[in-house]
Amino acid sequence: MASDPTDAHIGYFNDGQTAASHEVEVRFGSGGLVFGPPGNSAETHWSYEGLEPVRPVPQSGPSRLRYQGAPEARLIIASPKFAREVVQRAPQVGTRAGHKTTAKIAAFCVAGVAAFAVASWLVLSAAPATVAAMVPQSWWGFMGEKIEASLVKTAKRCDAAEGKKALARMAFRFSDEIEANSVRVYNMPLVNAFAMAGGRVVLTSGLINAAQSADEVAGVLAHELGHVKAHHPEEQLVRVFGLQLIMSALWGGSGMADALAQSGALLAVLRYTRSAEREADAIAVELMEKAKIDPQGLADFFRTLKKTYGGEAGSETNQVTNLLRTHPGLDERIGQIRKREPGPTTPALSDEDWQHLKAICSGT
Amino acid sequence: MAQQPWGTGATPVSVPGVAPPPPRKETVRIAFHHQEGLLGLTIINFLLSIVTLGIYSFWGKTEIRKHIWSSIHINDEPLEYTGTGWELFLGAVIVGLLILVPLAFLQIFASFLFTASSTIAGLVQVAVSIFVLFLVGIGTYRARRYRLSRSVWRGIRGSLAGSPVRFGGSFLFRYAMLVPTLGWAYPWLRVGLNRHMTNDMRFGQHPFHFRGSAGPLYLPFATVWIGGAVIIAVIGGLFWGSVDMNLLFGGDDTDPLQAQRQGLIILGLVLIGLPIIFVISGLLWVIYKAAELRYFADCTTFGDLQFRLDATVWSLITLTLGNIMIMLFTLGIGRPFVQRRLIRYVVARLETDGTVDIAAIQQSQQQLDRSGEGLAEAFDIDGF
Repeated sequence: MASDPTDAHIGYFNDGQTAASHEVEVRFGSGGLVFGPPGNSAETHWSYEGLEPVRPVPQSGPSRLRYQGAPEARLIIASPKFAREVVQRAPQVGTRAGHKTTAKIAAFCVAGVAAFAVASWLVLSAAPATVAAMVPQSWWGFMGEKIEASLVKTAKRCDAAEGKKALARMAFRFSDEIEANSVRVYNMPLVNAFAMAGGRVVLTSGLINAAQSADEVAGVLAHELGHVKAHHPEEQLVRVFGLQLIMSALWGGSGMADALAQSGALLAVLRYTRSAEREADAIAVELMEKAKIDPQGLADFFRTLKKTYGGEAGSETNQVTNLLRTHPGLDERIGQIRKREPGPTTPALSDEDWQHLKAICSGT
Repeated sequence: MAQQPWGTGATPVSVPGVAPPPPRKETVRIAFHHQEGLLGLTIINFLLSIVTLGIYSFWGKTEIRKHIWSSIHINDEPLEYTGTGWELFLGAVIVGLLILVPLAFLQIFASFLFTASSTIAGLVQVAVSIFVLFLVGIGTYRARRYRLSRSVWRGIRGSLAGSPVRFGGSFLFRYAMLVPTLGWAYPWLRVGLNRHMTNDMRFGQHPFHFRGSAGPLYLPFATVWIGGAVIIAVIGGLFWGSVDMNLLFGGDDTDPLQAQRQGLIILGLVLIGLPIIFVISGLLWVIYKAAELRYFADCTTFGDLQFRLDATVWSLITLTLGNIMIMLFTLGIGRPFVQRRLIRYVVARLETDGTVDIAAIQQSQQQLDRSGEGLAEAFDIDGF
């Protein structure tokens, strides 16, 4: 067929080198668009596969096209009708690119979930032990001090001299490396005990009052020392920092340090997983056996808790349920301890020391 | 491939005996052509950002920019945004890993290591603030450079030719001067930074120029500063004058009726006085900002092209109040509309005098950044 002048459509061309706008005649050639200055034989060829829309070809108004081989050049098609014919030959420049978009969105969702999963795994499982080991011990000491302060708030430290001596004697039975001052009793009705970064252990007066014997207190102390030995407090801190980093990255929040000071975060800092609790129990039994204290002390304390307070669901303010909640699965844990075969043991404290320990808060 | 029939505009093929064509100087008209579809885009972006835990937001932002950019028409041809979501994503990841995570850890550890009152904690805080201010300057510059390099008109892109670090240094120094001058450095810092930025700006290889000094902005600024100080002094004076200080700070022998009256006065001053301070100082601030916008446009040229911006106080008030409302009532989801309103305000009110030989403007030779705006994103420098 002879070249029909009505085949040619007026367009404009930016060559990507200068901001000049050249008028061109555009035609459908073999496998692509052919265009050049009106009445000039020199022509440029853009294959259909290489065409890209600047914006998807609109229903009305001019269409703007790019070409993969010349990313900075632009071809502007003035006629919408001609542009629709281009879309028939090069569908990718049309508005309908449905399946591609759907696939893209699906990919985004998968990427989002995968990134979250990887980040969570890193922060929760892989990184804590490594990062915790990288931070100098003295830093952990400072942090433990601050956490202790925000935990006990205004509660007074129990420091009756004889009581403190008794407590130190108990601690030294587990290890002579323990600094006597790092195990403290605070005057709080709460029945609980905490291990903190830097090797600090806090017992509440509520716990000492609830305990039926020195062995029970020794069991709890050994359990907390188990957490310390396994670096649970430090790893948990890294976990909480990491989670806050992820949160702030996701939602652009700030004030991470402030948030930690809040009680919600504090609870997260002091709460351990079941497996961490089991590990601390196991270490506690080991410590007690080595110290020749009956490991049943820990189990007895759990039983005392159950007997006194039962499994009843208390209100939110019930401090005992708090303890049960942060130390789940009492029955199972009692069972674990019972299976062991204890050797010859002596009481954790002499009767006299036990009386002193019970009176440790008498001065406050 | 056939020989290109069009020579390069700047160096027309010279034929012996024929005079080169005279420069084709053109006037420049800038207009905003409203387009539908922003609402749908905004909703889809919001939903997808939630589903993908925020990752999609970079791609969504890119879609919004493509939409808004293509509404800006220069001599009836739309501006084109060629950035990609991937570039923004990469920028955010790089900055997150290299700067934000270490900075966050430093701050968390510092807050644990030292009590708030200790000098070391204060020094760490000051050092971090200075560093962050420096980074904000660099981030501002890099974000502008990225956007310019992704803004294309007639196939030609913009650029910013200077060094981000130098701008960051200037930014830090000028903002630091606000403290000893009690804020009076503000017009100087604004003009200085804008001069720096504008003189570095190119369309293709053609530079923009900024000619101006801070002087003319000091009259509007003094109005704001003194006006603000006066209104605070008046309302503060009313407060101190009408309240019996003995009553406020622990007198034991107080008459309950008297105390009640005092309480009402304080409540009234807080409920009426504070809003008055906010409204009047906000109004004064808009007067300054309108003057600044007009002045910046007046000082800017592109070749023989001179810019003018019709920024009036009233239009700026309605723009700002509208934007605040949108952000409040959509909880920030409507941000693209705020962005469009800001751009439309400037584009619709921007005019040019003079002509420029557009066809002679050559493509930028600056290398393209592979990632964009991580710093600006991290410090939330601006909304685009």
